[in-house]
Amino acid sequence: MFKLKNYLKPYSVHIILGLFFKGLEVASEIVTPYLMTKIIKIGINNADKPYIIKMTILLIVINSVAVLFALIAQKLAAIASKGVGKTIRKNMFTHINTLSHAELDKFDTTTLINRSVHDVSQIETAIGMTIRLITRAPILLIGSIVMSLIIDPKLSIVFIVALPIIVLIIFLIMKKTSPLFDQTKVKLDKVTSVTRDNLGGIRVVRAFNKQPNETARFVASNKELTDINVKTIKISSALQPLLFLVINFAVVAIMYFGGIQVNIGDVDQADLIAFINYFSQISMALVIVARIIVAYTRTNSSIKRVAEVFNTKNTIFSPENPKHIDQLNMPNTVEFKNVYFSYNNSKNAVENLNLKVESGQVIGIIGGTGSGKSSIVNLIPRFYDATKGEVLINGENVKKYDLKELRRFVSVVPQNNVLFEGTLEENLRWRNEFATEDDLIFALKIAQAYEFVREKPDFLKTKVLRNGSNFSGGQKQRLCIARALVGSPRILILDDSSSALDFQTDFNLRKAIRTSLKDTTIFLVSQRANTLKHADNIIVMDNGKVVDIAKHDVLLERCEVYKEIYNSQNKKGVK
Amino acid sequence: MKGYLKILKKCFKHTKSCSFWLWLALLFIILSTIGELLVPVISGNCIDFIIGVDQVDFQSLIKYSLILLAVVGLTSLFTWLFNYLTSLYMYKSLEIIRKKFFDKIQTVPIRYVDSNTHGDLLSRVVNDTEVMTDGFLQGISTIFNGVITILGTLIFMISLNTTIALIIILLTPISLLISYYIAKKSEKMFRAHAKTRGDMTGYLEELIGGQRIVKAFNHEENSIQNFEDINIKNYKVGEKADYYASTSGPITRFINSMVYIAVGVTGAILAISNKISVGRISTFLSYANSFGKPFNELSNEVAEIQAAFASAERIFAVLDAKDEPSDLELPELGYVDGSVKVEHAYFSYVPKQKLLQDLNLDIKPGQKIALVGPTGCGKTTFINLLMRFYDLTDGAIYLGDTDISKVKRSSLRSKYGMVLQESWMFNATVKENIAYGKPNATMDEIVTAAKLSGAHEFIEKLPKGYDTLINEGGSNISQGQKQLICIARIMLIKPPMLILDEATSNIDTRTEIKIQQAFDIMMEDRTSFIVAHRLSTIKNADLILVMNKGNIIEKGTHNELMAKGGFYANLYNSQFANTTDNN
Repeated sequence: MFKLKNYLKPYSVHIILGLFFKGLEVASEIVTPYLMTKIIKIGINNADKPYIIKMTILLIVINSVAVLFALIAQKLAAIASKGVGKTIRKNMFTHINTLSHAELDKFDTTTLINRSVHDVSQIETAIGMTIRLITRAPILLIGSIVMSLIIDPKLSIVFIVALPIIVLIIFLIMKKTSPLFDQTKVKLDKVTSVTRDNLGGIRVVRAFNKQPNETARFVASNKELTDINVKTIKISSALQPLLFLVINFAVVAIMYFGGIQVNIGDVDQADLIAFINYFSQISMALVIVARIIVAYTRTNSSIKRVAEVFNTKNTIFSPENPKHIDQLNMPNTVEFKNVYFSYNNSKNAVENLNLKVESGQVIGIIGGTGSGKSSIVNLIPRFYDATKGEVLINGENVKKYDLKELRRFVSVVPQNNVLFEGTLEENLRWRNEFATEDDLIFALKIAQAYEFVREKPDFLKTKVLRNGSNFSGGQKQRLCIARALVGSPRILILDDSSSALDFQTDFNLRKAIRTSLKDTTIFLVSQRANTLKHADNIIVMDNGKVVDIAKHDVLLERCEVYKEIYNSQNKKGVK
Repeated sequence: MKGYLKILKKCFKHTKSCSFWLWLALLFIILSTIGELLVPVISGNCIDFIIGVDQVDFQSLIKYSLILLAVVGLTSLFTWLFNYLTSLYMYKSLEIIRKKFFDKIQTVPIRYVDSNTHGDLLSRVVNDTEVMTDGFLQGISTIFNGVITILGTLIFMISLNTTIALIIILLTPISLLISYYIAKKSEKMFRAHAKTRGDMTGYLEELIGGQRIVKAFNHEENSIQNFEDINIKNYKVGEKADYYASTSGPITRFINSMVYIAVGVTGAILAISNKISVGRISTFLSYANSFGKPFNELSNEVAEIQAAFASAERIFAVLDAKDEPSDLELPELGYVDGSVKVEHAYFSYVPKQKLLQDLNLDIKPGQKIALVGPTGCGKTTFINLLMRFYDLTDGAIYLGDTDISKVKRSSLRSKYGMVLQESWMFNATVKENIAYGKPNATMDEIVTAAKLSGAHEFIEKLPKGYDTLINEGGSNISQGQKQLICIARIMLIKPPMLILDEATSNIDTRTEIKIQQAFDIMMEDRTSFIVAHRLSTIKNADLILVMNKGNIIEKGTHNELMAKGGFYANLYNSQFANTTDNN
């Protein structure tokens, strides 16, 4: 469970001291007008210059100490707020790293980044603001009220009448505008989506000469956004002038009733000045309260979004007493026993798969998009767990093995080619940190990547930019394959991973893998029958169902779906 | 500074049509500032009517109180009008700039959109526009408000009492200097913080995006360790930046209270010798507060204003991009018979890397041209040139006898029906998507087109049939179904020529067959360019253009190319040879 409290705890000293020092600074702000009143009252009335100078020195000392306190408080606030943010980010990233594929599916990358960066920043800001402001409002409020009571309780009635009005104004305006702010977000999303649509379909738009229609769509949503913005601002911009109005009405009231009090000798002129001063401080305090409330509502949704990540629990982990797996020697068999799998208990993505794979066999998996091909192979390294039935490696359920050892045993080349910022060799050593240069070259050669890597002046030390953007799609794919081959995996999964390769390279790659990795058990996922033709067994998938499992020739004889796929790709005409 | 002025000028030029609101707002800010400055004077007067026991002049007090109320009322109204009108101006200009941005996207060469990531353009139109208008508006209103307040206060103060006025005028710049110094220093740190934050975001983007790989390779601990390094660096810089920025508040507050004390004390001493009344002291104390305020506000907003200029640069970089050359003067392309001639065509995306070189083709009406080659070989380049999404560097393409660069682009494009693999749907109903090229089509026409394309069957099965809304990103129908809808779109407008992109792998077999059949129907009697992946299409083509690395390296019929034994023959053998033997 994510509890902000736990993150604040290590900084409790910072926070408490910060609040304390800040409180002292605010106190000085209350004392200053009070002393000023005294100067006017005693100093002027008695024409006492030494007294005035004495008080002035006192004022300067108090304010100098106050600024020191304030600086300390600011430092403490900075340490505490950024420190909490740092810890949350660290824990969040660590947590994300523990999540399995099933949980990651619930969040897309952008939202996870936004949560770790923006939402955590929002929390940081709120903590800093709390330390810096939260003492201010109550101390100003209470201090000013106390002081005004000391000066004259009767005049304080003006406060009692005016304050609720101010609170009401703040409350009403916030209540009116906050749903409008939500609407603004919706309208802004609309503008964004129209623009995104347009950028994505720019060729179609121009091919159909539809720019005017697109522009009309944009203008409409753009106008809606402006309208709602203007509506919001019409209300929210009234806050400041309304407060100004109420405060000054109150000031007039203080002067009028104060005049009566002065006339009968209950208070004097200087008291009135102090009184007016306190009143404006109280109103300032209320504005601060309003600002804090706005910031908190925003922070609240950030906290919720952060908590959502933390409260997503990992469902796949190592067992308590894991079995160990021999990374070097045979066997490396895989067996599927009555395996069912579905994402989120929806429709079955894999239904009743039964297959025994011997060490060193090549298994092809074919079928259309969404037919369940990748789902099958994802069960082997436990990216997902089967919902029913068992997946066995060397006769033992994969759930019994240590997760890390299992994932060392099984190597995967996924559909999308992801390389990471760094150097080529750093990327290639992901499976085995201690791989020698020869190991890397061996893998590159099999993956048909050696040729172009050799041409690079820095060879293995060539820089890889973020997302591997300095390599072409085909090159990236081959590098990803090489990365999976380093450290001779016992089971290799190629999940539709030759789509960016031309036919010739694809062919060479398959040949090299087969001759160089004779003992490795290989799973080959593809949409192309030709890629799988020579596999020991081919699983034909259609819409989650296992249609047939057999060799190419047999399938061609008896399996309609396979025949259909094969013919559509190879035979002349399909009419 | 000069650069800043230039950007501001540009910004005003673009939003001229709503600048009336800004001028009106400025009028109100002058009025409201005068009001705000009058309030302490009047209330000071009031206090001077309250001298002591039995020395209260109630008649004058009431009179002045009423004046005060009137001034306060008007000032509030003016302040609200100012707030409202400046915001109105801001949102109107935001709307205008966004619209101009969108218009720009419609008129720049496709090359421009291709060479920028969509995310970046999107962020410019959504975020940068807002940061810019926000920052400028804040900046403008603060500066105006500030200048008027300062000038007004100066005039009022000097007319009331020169000694105290001098104290305020001399002391306030200290606070100005200090907050300027702090702003400058913290700005440097903010920039450093922005960088560490950017690094962190980048790392997160990479590692969260590639999280499935991280898991597959047991790389969690490593990546957590790396992140921690970046995270700590970000913390250190962030904490410092945060602290430095936050010191400006207390320090300026300190200076202001020093000014406040100085005014009070001087006032008191002057009052002893009866050179000033107590009411005036209160007026001055209030001015001491308001005189420093504009400086503080401005220093608070320096960062925001700078961000606004940075965003403005990013926006104008797009708004100033060159449009496609105008074709308003050019004639429409009339009837075309379907023949295409390419004469000495040269093309390259960047001058250094030559792609098409001296390409010559003579395509007869109704011929089928297959584009073949490995992925990324430049098949789209050829299509881009036919549709004039890009223009040739040299040479010409003729439809019939007309040079396509000598007619209106829109009339050229309307001659082609284009179906790409990545089928673009917009957020509307199926019906509207099909009628995209012919909005006034009748329901009968739409259904006929859908039937011809083979889309009718699945559309009928959708929850609301033809009225089913295709959601954003089109995730409620499959890739193949989208392509069928795109085909129906073309069937509806019956263009004389076609550009088709055959499905590779993302489509299930049955849909693929349907699409193929639809293609075959469409291609009858129409000149067609097909990005071909299927053997039957390739073999039946009248002309095969074999492309590699952006260039057309071989051309001819299947038999000619096989006989030649070149790249095509190789390609063909590695992909299809075994299977053809089997059959």
